[in-house]
Amino acid sequence: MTRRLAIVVSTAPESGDLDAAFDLAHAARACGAEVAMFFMSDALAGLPARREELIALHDDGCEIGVCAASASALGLTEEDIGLPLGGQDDHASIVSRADRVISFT
Amino acid sequence: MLLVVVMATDRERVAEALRAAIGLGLRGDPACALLVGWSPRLEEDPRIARALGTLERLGRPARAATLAEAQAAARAARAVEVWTDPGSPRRLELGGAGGGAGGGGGGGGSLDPRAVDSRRLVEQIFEADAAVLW
Repeated sequence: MTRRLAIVVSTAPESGDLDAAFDLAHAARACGAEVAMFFMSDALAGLPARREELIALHDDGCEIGVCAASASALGLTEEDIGLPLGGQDDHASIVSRADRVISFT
Repeated sequence: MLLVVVMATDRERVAEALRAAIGLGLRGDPACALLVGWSPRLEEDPRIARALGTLERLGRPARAATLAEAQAAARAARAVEVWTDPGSPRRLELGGAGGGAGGGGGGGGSLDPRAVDSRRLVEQIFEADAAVLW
């Protein structure tokens, strides 16, 4: 049975958590796991610079949730992120369906 | 149980942690927020006061807890989000049979998630009975 890993990130990119989260997501995909990621709060500041990587993960089958309220607070749009924005309902859904949750919060 | 442990003292981070605690219950899962090292002065922030009020009205009020209480609750939770202040050190705690800190398994342990190979880390996370990033 395929295992599902959820990764939640809320910290600013300078924390290094965003790097660690993406590394973990790529490693989990390489191990054959399903991956879902949810980004909120200061983490979104690092997403425009990783736009192509985020889209590639999405195209690889990863579920990606990005908090619209956090994007709005930072003045970011869907175009900046490269994917549709969502909300806390995505957060709940992603965490609820995961076998393991790693939270960089 | 989905658990949010609020260890942050920065008001922005606390407000966001409580927003996450509200959000995690939106799909009907039991969700709980524990406030570690809580200062009542944080409730002077309207975002924090509003979020605490919302959690109370939802029937799942946040409550103050010691670190030991939060750690015990984390061991029983299905998923845990620990919200800390910027710059806080990270330790991944792996519980149960598969979670040996050194990769050897046997009884759980903790490790620095940036100090190990990511693929090995993924294996350890799934082998363990539980994984909490503190």
